[in-house]
Amino acid sequence: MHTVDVVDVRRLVADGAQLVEVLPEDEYAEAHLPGAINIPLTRLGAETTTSLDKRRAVVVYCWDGL
Amino acid sequence: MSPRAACRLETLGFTEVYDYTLGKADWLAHNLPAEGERADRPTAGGAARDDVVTCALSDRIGELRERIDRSPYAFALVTSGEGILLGRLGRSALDSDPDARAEDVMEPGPSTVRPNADARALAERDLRFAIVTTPKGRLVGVARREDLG
Repeated sequence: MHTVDVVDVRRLVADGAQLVEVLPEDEYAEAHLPGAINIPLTRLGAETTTSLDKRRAVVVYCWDGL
Repeated sequence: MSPRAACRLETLGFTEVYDYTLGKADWLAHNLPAEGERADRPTAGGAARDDVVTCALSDRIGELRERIDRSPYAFALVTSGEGILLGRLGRSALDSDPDARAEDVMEPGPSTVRPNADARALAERDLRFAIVTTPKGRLVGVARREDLG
């Protein structure tokens, strides 16, 4: 796992990375990064990640890491 | 939260996982595009103008007065070579010795807001303007009260 900053995120997304917001649904609905999907941390598991491609990079984020 | 999510994804077999630890707060604070129900709300970053006089630490006050007189503001902002906000030169500083350096008379650490700050909430405060900087302190500009809503 690597920690990245905003510059890295923009580059990774431009290169095809998948964006995953792990906050609750209501917070995702208010505002999220363009193209991000929502998988709340409390539901993160094998069944909820089937839409993600394991061969491609994944960037996860929440509000501020806490 | 995101470090745990990144770790969990690795345990699920994802081999290239990145944790954007600073997260959505950081993204929005850089005034970058967003999607969602509240993504289009007016923000301080959207209202900020880049028409404030800026100067370096070593600039002389006497050389700044004319530029400030022509600007919409009665102050100047002191920045580093990378655009990081270091201080503010208010009226008393500008009335000081013309040979004084900005560094010697500036007010260090002026109050700022992030670009993603809600413009309407700022407008309800008794502010004539708001200095807008990124989380790393880079000056974005100045939002005037009349532009905040």
